[in-house]
Amino acid sequence: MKKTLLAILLAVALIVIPVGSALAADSADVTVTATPGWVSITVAPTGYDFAIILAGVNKDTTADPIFTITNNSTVIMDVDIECDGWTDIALPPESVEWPYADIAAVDTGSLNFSTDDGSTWTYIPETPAAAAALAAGVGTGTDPTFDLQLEAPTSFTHVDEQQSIITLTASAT
Amino acid sequence: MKWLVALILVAGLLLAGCPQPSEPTVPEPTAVETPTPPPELYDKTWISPGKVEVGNFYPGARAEYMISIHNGSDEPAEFSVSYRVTDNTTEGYEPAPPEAEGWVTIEDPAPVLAAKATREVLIVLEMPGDAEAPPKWEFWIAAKDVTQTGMVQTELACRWLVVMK
Repeated sequence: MKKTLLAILLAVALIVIPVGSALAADSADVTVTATPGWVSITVAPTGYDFAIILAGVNKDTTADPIFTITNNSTVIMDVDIECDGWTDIALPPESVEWPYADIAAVDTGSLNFSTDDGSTWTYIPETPAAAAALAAGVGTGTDPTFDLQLEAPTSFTHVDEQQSIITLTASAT
Repeated sequence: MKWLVALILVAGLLLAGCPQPSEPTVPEPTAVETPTPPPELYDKTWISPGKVEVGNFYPGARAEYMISIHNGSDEPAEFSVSYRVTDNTTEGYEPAPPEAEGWVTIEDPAPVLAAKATREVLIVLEMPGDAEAPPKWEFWIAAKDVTQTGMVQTELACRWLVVMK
């Protein structure tokens, strides 16, 4: 009888000890905290038509318009810029998209941006490449501006109208 | 004999008093307030918060948080909520490992919001037990109104900053 009871006690002890260890392993809690704040921007204008372009001749918006990012955020923020390359907006099957690259070539054009009225131009990367920094550490109530430049192909074999969507991504600094 | 019975009783009571093993609990977000956004943001599209910080994270761990998305336009809008590789990282943090995209679950990646409506979307980060990550790493959750039609569109991102245990 005593042996049976001792065996039971031993079994109980063996059960209790691993339970305690397992709980200790889970006790280092993961923490999740959030900084209250709202991230919000708007941009105007939202469109621009470069119209007819000539081979090798760049066009930009320094004369008009200038794009303004209205910073509605309650936190300091960064704004990055990227695009989705070229889309031929003619109906398929005739549509032929230009390649998008940072150096213009035959049927190959690119888009650049400037935050200093066209003194310097920076290539706008195509998704999924990392976006370019357009503005960093933008304080609340500060509204950055920028211009766009189309770097025209050096020559054309496809003259369909091309379109690119530019995305501005805002994030808390 | 009596002392053995007493010992069994005590052991039984101790066992009953011990917390029982259960499914790992998901930590409740701490310091989580959902303060009311400023009234001037009512007609603006926004996300909140700007940053989510995960601490004491480890392979096999899970963390979750609700981000809020607000449609400030006068029309219903569909949003795309997605994992995003960082364009830049917070000082001291590295970009998330490429496989981290598979560790993130977005409860509703395509919410449709009525005009001026706000929606909470659950983001779950669950790291496999055999995975590896830098000591401090970062990824973004981006929300974009896909009903935008202009050539220049906007997207809003929430930084997730993860510190490993």
